[in-house]
Amino acid sequence: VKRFAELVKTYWLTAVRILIGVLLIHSGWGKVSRPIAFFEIVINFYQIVPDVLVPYVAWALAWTEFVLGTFLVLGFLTNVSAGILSGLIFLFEMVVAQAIVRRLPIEECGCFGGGTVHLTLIQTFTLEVILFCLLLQIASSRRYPLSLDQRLKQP
Amino acid sequence: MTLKHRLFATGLLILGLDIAVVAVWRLSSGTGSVLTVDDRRTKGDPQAKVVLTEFSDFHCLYCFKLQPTLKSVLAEFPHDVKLVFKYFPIFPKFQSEKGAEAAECAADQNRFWDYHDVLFNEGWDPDKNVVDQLVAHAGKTGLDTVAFRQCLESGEKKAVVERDKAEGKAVFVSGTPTLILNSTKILTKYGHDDLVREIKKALGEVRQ
Repeated sequence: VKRFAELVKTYWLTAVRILIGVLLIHSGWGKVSRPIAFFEIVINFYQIVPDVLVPYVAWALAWTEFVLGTFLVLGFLTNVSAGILSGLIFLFEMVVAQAIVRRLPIEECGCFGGGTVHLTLIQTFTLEVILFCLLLQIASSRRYPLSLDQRLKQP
Repeated sequence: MTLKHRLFATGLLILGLDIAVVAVWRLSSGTGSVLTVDDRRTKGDPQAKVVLTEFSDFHCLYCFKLQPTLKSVLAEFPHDVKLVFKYFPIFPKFQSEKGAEAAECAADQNRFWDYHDVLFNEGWDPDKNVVDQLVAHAGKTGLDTVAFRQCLESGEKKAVVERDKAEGKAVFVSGTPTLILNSTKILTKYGHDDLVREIKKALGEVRQ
């Protein structure tokens, strides 16, 4: 029973890893596939990043999401990627929370690059809390079925 | 090959593939943004080379604060800049959609901009009858209030407002105000000097 539970946990985390990776690729793609100014304006709406830094933050966030999303799907540097992403998601949570508290005029989070997914700030915050918990679980996992990590570590 | 080398090479390969996919996509497609223009909601020279599209909500404080800047920029570039107004209501609890529909009813009577100014300056109280207040504003603006009320109560302008909003979402607008230059460039700073600089830059590109 113990071994079965362990197996279920491992495959559950693998499924979650791939799903979150796909979500991040989708969200990052919405930003990197368009001129970065589209994402800069979203960052400006949150009124937290100094003007001079906005283009750099926009560029860094968009590419981090996209590249680490790919890493997660492929299971490459899984723990490190999930660790960095959980930190990033925690940061997003704080930014969204301050926007909710300050009642900033933001109708939807802008997190998916204006594509097909439109979330309100409350929905975004909820999703981020879930993602944060799942990413922490992945970051602390030691088994990686269906991953490049597993392949690369084979002698 | 050690594990470190293999990890490094694989990381570089994935990163390279990511960059290549994005580069190919960006090179093969434009920004994909095409914004429609309703002439009744434009200001400035119709032949102007620079088109500034404003996505706005009549109940949004930042949009209200932007109005003097837009007016002064239009005054400074009377023949070079055209302003296009787009509805992007974002406060359902203040019935922002109703305000946008009302402005569209005013546009039917060719008084969009007068009504636009009244709406921004006087607003409305969402806890009282919003339609009555909007009709009262129409009366102050000198509109035919019977036709205006009929237009507003029928809900016939909902589709127009929703279409504007859908266009905005398609180009990544997620809040108000948002200004877009020549249908493609989203402006990120709305100070007077920032706008003037962007307009001059765009004019320079057009004239070259």
